[in-house]
Amino acid sequence: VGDRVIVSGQKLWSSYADIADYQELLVRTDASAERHKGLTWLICDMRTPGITVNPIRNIAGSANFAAVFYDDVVIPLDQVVGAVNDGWKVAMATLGFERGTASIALQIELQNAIERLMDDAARSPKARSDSALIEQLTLLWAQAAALRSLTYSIISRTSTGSSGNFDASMVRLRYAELIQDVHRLGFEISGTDGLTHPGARGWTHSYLYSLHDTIAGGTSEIQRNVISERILGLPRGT
Amino acid sequence: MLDFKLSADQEQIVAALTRSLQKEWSSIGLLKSFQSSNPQQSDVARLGAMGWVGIGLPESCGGSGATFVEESIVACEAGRYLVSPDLLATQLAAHVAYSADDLSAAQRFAEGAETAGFLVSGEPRMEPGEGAESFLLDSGAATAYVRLAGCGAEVTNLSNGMKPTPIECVDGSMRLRRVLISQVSARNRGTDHNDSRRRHMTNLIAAMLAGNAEGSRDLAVEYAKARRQFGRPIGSFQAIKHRCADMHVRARTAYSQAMHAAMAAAADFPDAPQQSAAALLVSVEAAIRNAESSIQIHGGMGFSAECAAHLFLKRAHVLRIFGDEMAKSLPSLYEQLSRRGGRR
Repeated sequence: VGDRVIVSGQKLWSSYADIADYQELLVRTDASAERHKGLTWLICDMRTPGITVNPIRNIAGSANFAAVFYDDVVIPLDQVVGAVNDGWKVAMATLGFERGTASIALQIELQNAIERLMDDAARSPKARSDSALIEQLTLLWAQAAALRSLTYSIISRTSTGSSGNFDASMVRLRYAELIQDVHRLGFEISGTDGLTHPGARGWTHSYLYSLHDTIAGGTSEIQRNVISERILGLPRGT
Repeated sequence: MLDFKLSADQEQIVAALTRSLQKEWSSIGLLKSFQSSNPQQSDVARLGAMGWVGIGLPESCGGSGATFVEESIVACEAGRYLVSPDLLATQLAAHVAYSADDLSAAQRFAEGAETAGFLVSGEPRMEPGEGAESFLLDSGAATAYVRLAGCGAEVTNLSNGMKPTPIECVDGSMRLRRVLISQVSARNRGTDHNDSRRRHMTNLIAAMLAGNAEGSRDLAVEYAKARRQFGRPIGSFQAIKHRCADMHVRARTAYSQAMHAAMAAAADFPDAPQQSAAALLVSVEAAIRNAESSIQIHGGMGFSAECAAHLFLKRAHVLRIFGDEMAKSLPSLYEQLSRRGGRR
């Protein structure tokens, strides 16, 4: 309306909404437009009147996302990124980052987790003599190395413009599966320590928390749709 | 960060190689040789004549003086078209001959005038027998064999007058013969006691496996687009397309790691041994799982020997066994990582 957008509704799964100062909002601004059209990408000040934040407890026991309610929240037009009704393009760019190149730091963390796992295994007499476990650990290390090579390879080609944005879905998919494999194994080799839940530390929490990775930022099923339809050119379902 | 972008020269290698492979190699031809249980004639001699075998060898012995990276690119493209692993054995033979200062032998291998196969040692048996046995594996035309020696590799010919016993190979497009180890070493053509040669070979095997994984993906995706069921292409069903997506991710991941291993070896990075071991692990997994997926996507056709899908599977397993052979008596990846030294 005029020089501002008035937002009403709710958004589930907003990460860290309870501590955030600002939020990215993708809102429908043209009710008659179809699917990806008629959306606008906004920067929303979380202190604006009309915003209620209800933290949601997750399966790992922490509460780092929330349901956010908007009751006639007024956002000035100068907080629109891109153009009004052209928000999908902005959203695809930020999702591309989330799915691909921005994940290098996460991948380094993943490799650190694997090395911690190797340390744990080396300290445990039972794990040390378990050749199947050693094999699994080695394969995980190799897969994490290969995921990084894949990411570098996509970045190398992106910087010269020869790689599609859709390649980021491969990184996201592989990362999500791999991090679950790593933390599941860590949880398993903890033995009876796995009975305890020492808060936001240790394999118990990280294993349970890793289950969000195949859901957030587009589920693994969505990534597989993107890869098969957009990269491999397989026909869309009806 | 390593730059994975292919250079203009490397793009040309891929394009030129793809052109000749598309023209001359097809899984159909391989299928025929498989069905007649008549091993294919040496494709590697032809590749050698075109300069592909010697690409990584110095110009002084008929090569092109390119690096490990270009060799891996060639191995990958060859893997996609199921070119015989004789290609890798012949390249290895040329390198070993070159480092043993036998320039004329190196040139014969590099130009494909002579081709080599692999000699792998048999599994140790518990019951006392007539001595250790080994397997000779090639496309049917090899006159020399590369095998492991200490931590390096050597090239050898069979002793005169010895008769290896032919046996059926799991990969019907290859010739497999059993031989007693005592009969092999009579004519040594050069030894290379450098464990980097084994790693070099591991990288080429990994690259060929990555190409194999891509070949399976292409076959399956093509079929998923063409084959119709319930009034639409089967590739429109998520049960099929998600399998295809997984195949693509496995193939691209394996390819990227194979290239990383080749670049690390070419630049002599301290983590080159780890990258190479990782490349073999992921490319073995990618090739075998992709080939199995491709058979599954082809359904009943995939189970039929008339469909090319199984050729990729069988070749992948042969390459897996070669890869294991290369890793023998070298420290495992786990041992390397536990030592902490070159870890990044």
